Amino acid sequence: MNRAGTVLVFALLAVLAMELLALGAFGFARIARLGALHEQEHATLQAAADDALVQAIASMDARDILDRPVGAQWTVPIATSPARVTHAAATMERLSARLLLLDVEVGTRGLSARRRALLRVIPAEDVLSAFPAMITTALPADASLPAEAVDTAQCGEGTDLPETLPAWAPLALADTLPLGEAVGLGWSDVEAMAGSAPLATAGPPAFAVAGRDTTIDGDFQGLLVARGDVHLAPGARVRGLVSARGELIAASGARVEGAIRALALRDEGVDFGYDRCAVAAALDASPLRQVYRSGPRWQLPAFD
Amino acid sequence: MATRLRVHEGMTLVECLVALVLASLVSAAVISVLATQNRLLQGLTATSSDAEALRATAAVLGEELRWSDPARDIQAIGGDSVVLRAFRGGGRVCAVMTDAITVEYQGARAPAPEKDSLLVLTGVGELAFAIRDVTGAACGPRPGIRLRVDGTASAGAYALVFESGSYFLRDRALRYRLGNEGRQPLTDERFAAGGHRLRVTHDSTAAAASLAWPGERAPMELRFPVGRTQ
Repeated sequence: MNRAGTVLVFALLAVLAMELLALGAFGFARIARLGALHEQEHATLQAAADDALVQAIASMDARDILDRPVGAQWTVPIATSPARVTHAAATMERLSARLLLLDVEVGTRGLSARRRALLRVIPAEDVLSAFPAMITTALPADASLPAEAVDTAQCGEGTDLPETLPAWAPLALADTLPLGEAVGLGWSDVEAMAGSAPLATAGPPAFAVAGRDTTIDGDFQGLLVARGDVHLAPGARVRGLVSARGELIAASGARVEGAIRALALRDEGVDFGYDRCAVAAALDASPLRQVYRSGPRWQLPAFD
Repeated sequence: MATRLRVHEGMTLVECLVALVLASLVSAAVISVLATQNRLLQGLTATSSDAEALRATAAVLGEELRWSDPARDIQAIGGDSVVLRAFRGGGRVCAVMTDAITVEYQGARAPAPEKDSLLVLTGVGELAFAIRDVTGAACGPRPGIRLRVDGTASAGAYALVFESGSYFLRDRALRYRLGNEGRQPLTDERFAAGGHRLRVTHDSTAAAASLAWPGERAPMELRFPVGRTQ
């Protein structure tokens, strides 16, 4: 072998060594990339499962659920499939009168993620059960009621009218339960249900919660539950249902269309008209038609 | 007259010397590259092992803490350990008897009376029971198990089977101890020697674990959503 051949052989060996190095580096890079992609896919899938769970819960209507028998199972639609997910499905099972089990599964390319949640519906009656049932008119339970202010035919078709007032048996405060014990929720939960606007003055019926004494001095439409006293200022107009654990102080010049449940009434000349349509609309307030987490441990491990 | 050409075979001394020098240089370069590659490989392997230990720790602790209610399930936090209720399965309570409940059970493993307990979620509160016995049963057409317990629950509740265990760092690895039984390593021995290197803290929405590495590297902070209350 001459000199040129020797040089060529060594050069080829050097190139081979470089190629091996490059190949090794490429292999490491590819493995790292695959790992990163897998992590990214996993994280995307987990986020998509959380998204789908939120969507499924948001899409449910408590009235629809309460119409189904205990033990029923059904599919819950997920409006928009989360990004980069090939399938998303949710099924609901009504475990008991108030308790629900939601299973959500999202998947993509052979991977899947599941969420399982224990939820509950909160009928208005549950919330109201924590409050005494005295009526604004301060009539005894068996007394005849004033005539309703409106014709119930005006409520509209399909309106689920509440019982007439005598069926809401009066309870003394001592016979009622604190809200948390009555429905397994704390005040903060109910306040969260009510949302950020404590006293709606316009728009659709609201569900408002007051954790202490509260005053209404404008228009209020919907359901108000108050932990303390409720003051109706002159000029206040309430259409719906007010349920107070304390006293209701109604000034002259205030007007109520609907019903009021309170421990005691101080009637200073309020203009009161019982209206089942207004009560029905208040009890149909959208927060009460939502589905809520069952308690602190509402998300459950989903085992296969 | 024919001329005989003298053919020179082999290489001259100078050529040999040049070849040797070139060979030495290339060999030295290759050896140097290989040594560097070896160091890189060792570094990558160590980093990979560290990452794997960290990933395993994050996965294990994250999965356990994810479903916990911090106020009730995290029972104790030590300098290098956390004692908690770890959920191993659960299902809908489909039938109730005076001293037993039937559960449509799914889980990582079957319940074991000697080491598991039962938590029944009613939607309003929780009931805890010791499991006395486990037998096969059915929930309608679906398979289930019958758990004999001291007490009763309502049908339609949800039952969770849990064991009490502790996660801790010992001998440079994350380990799990079920009750008072032995400790099982869950990772390679990658963490700092000595105790007090795993610190778990939590509030109502998240738990954090701090893991110390050998040497001067800064402790790795892990954060997990916990309780899933939001």
